[in-house]
Amino acid sequence: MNRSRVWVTGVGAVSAAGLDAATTLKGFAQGLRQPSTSLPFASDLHCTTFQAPANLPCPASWAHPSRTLQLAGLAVREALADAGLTGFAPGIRVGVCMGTTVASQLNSLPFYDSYRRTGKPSLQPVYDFLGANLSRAIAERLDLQGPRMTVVNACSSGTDALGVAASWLRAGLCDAAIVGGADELNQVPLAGFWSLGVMSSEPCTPFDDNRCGLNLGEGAGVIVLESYDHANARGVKPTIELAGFGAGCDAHHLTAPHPQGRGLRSAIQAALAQADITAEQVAFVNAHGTATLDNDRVEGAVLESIFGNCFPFLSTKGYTGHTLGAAGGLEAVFTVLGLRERWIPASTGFSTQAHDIPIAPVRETTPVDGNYAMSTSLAFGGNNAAALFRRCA
Amino acid sequence: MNRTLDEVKSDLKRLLVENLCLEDVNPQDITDDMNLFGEEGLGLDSLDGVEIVVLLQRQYGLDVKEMQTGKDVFRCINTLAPYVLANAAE
Amino acid sequence: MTSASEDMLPPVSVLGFGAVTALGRDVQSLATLLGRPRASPSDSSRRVSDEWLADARVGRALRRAGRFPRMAVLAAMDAWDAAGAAGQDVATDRVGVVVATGLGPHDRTFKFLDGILDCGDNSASPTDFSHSVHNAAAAYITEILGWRGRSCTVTDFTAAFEQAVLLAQVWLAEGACDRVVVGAVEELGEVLLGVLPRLLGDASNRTDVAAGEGACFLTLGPATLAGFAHLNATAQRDQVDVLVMDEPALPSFEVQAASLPLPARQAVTFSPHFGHMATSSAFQTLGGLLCLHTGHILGQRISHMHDVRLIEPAVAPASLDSVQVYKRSSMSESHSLFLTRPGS
Repeated sequence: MNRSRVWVTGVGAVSAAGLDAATTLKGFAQGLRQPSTSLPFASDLHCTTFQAPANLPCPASWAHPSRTLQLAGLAVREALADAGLTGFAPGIRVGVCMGTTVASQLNSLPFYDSYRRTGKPSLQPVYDFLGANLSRAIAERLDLQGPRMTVVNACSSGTDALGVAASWLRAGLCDAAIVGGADELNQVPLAGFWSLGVMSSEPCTPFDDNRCGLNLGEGAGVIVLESYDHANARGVKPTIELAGFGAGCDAHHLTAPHPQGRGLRSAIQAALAQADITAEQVAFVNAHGTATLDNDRVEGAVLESIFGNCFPFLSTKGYTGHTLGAAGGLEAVFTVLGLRERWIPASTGFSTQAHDIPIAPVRETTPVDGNYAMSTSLAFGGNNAAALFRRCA
Repeated sequence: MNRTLDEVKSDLKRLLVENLCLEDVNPQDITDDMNLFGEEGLGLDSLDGVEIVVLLQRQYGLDVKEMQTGKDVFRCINTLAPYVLANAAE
Repeated sequence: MTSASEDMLPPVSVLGFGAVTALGRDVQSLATLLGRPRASPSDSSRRVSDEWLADARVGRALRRAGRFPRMAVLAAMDAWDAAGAAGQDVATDRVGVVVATGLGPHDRTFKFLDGILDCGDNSASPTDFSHSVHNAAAAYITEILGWRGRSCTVTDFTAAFEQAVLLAQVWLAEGACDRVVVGAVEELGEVLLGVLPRLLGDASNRTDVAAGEGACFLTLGPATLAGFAHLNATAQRDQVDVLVMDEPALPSFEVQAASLPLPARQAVTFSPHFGHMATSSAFQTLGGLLCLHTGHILGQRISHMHDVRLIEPAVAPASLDSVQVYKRSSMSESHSLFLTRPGS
């Protein structure tokens, strides 16, 4: 039975690199990066971030104070349109699995400031928060029945969400799934990552010898997954599948990755094993590549030990910043686009081989000719995930 | 800053114990030359390191950026206290 | 009677369970405590006393951890210990973890915000930040217990525990893990308690709701292994011996028939004991497990409640075989977990 195979039929992406996938690809082809030096809120911080447009095109049904939900809505609608789906037939079960960081927290500074001063703040931020569970909000707006989950695994949430939805589809719990991640640029995690000493004030330089930290970004990346039966029944012949997924924990430290990247290694190997391929068959890797000293060193070493030292790889965080819960979703979309279009952009921000990393990402737009591509994610808390996509035609 | 070196040393020891939740440690037990980081010594880790950076910024007005360049400064109380004394904001 | 073969996924075995709640950490004495009448309704919250949070085995490892990860680690450790040698006999990379929470470590989040408001957003505490994220509990669990398999933290305001159990079943069924330690954790905090009366007051005229906190974890494995009960989030049944649900539930209104709880021989709640939480069904599941384990109907009877349909004969202790843990999210949405006595 074809239930074991999980098909990608649509993608949607919004970030500083573009309001949709097509715009993003145009920018990628030019190596265009658009960092911001000013912040959309009052702050004592002076740092580079990557921001989507302040005003997001948003139909009334998706309007909500949560910018994270608005970003998600944009990418969801694009992914459904890309899949040629205007809706689902009655009785079809559609899962929704989304990763996020910001939308999960009651962290409104104005609310808390008012609480400290008066003890009786307006409860509107609380109501807004209660209405913004990402997967629930998406399922309600699209009137979907099926399993749902909002994953809060920090930086690997979007990739982990892909793995969950693939498992649901294979188990027959749903016929299709809307999957990915979304996060807005928010002052609270900005202050948090700054305090951890892992943020660069300048535009980030993933895998570079002079790298000195990440830039936060915002956005949403969404993929439509379908069972073969569901796609076939509506006359669609999908060409990209989610062929493998792996995840593993470092079990090491709350904020630092395992020095030998053992969790990432096991995630990558599990994904390759599930797809039943060898590392040589992978045409390119979209790495996590945050531009922190630790991540890039650890990830670079693991990638080299598995894929060798002359395989194409890149970090797209030079274009989007680190979008936290959205990163896994966006980078899955970029990986699928790379397979579809048969090229990957330059790993923007990189210029000098790092003395502590045995490999270097692609410096220019690079054609890719194979049928498999992988996206990797490493998260605070020690979660690691790898998603492997296969092109069939 | 109107503190002596010895006073700064004992201030720092108290600051570390209280703010890093080292409940099983008495400030007096931290010797001046004991390694603060790593398993031999007080056993602090990288998260404690960045927390100390913020504590010193709040307590003494020490510039965060400068702190990140000087790992030797953090090795023990004997290296940290003189640095704080010399650079604390008035 | 709907047959088990129509369930979407096979059941899993509960190999062990552990909890840290307002009633303490010792699940053995919990059954006795849950058999007693409800606590005074004038209590506004069910707090976990600090005495339950100390453990010399993990004291140093948890030194920076606030109550949220601390409760989760202790409950997960207890659930793993309770699984015994046979239950624990797997490689560390074959143990998965799923943590469900509605509100996450909100108390620590507000502490982080204190730093931003008092000292500026360029001078906030990295320790508070890294502990204010929902996945801090799972991070501590995997680090302290040394588990290197999959880990997922999930959040929803009503159904997170049910989603977590479903994921655990899926992982076990597809062979991604050989064991899954799944649980829920919620914490109380000053801000939450401060706004809760106004929040509930706006929704209804309820003032008798006690908010709770705690952590409750289960060690799950394949149903072929002997355990305390079988658990299934996908089961289809016509009736059960015992119905367990929150009380009071959402304000009474017309509920769609498909969303009603099943007819049951007895209906109970553990809300007065544990308090209300977003992931309360984890604690109702704990109560249900103890009913099956002891063969006694524990908790507070809720026969009077709207939508509870009692059927005859009332269950006799010796034949207590099935429990529905029912959670209603809205008029049209409810979730159920089914516990059955192995071999029944």
